[in-house]
Amino acid sequence: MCRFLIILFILTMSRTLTAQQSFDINRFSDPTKYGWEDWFDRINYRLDLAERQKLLQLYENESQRISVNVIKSAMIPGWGHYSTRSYVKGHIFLGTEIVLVGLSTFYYIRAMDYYRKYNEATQVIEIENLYKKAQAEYQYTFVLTGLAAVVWLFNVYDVVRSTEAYNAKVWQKIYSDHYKVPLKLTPNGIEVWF
Amino acid sequence: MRMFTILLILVLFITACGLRRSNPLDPLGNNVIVPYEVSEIITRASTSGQLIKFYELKWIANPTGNADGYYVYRGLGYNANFTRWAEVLTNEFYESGVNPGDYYFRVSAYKYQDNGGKLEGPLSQIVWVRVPI
Repeated sequence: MCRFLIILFILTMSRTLTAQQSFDINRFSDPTKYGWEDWFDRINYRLDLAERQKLLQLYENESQRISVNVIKSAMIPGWGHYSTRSYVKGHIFLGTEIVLVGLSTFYYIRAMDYYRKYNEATQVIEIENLYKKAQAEYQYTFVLTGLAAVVWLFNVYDVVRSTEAYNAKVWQKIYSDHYKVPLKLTPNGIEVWF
Repeated sequence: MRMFTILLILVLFITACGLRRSNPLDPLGNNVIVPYEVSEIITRASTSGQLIKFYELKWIANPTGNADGYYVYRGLGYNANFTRWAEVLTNEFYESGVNPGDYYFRVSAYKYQDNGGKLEGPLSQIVWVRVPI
C-alpha cells in the first residue's frame, strides 16, 4: 500500500514537472506576437492605449446618451434637442407642438360645445346644422392631433440623429484638443497654442 | 405609392372618427316623424284708424299625424333675430293690442315623438304684415 502511494506521488510529481517544462516562457513574453517589433513598440502601444482610454473616459463624461434624450423629447418635444444644443430645432419642435396641441384642444372644445348644443336641439334644421358643425370641428381636432403625433414622432426620431451628431462633435473636439500641436506652421506664420 | 397609402389611411382614420348621432330627435338614426315645413301663410292686420290694432296669420295645416302644434316666431326686421312668440294648436294665430308697425313672422310645426321628445320642423319662409296707425 505504502509502495503504491509512493509510486503515485512520483507519477504526479513527474507529470507536474513535465507540464512545467512544456510552458514556454519565451513564447509567453514574446513582444512580437501582437505585431510589435520590439519592447519600445509595446510600450508605445500601451501608452497609446492609456491615452485612448483617457480620451474615452472624457468622451463618456461629455457625451450624451441617446436613450435619455429620446425620453426627454418624448416627454417634452424639443427638450432632447435643447440638451444637444440644437436650439433652433428645439424651438421649432416645441413651438410646432404647442401650436398644434393648442389648436387641437381649441377645436375639440368647440366641437364638444356644438355637440352639446346638438344634443339639446329640438329643431330639425338646427339639429343637422349643429351636428355638421360639431363633426367638422371634431375632424379638425383629429387632423391636428394626427399632425401633432407626426411631429412628435419625427422629433423623437430626429433627437437620435441630433444626439449622434452631438456626440461625434464631442469626440472630435476631445480628439482635436488632445492632439493639438502647440506649435503650428500656418500660411500666416507660426501659430503657438498655450 | 407609400405617400398615397399614408394619405388613404389618414382619410379613413379621419372619416371613421365621427361623433355619434346621440340626439333622440335626430331624424338620422332615429325613428321620428319630422313635421313638414309650414307653407302658404296668409297675413291680415287691422285697418288704418281702427281702434284695436291686431294682426292675424293663417296657414295650411299639416296633415294629420304630422304635427301636434305650431310655433310662431316674430321679428322686427327681415334680417332681425326671430324669437319664439307664441305656441298654437291650430293653424292660425291672432294677436290684438299691438303697436302699429311692421312685423315679420315665421311659423314651424312640431310633433311629439314616441320617445317623449318634441321635434320641431323647418321654419317657414318669412312673411310680413304692416299694422297701420
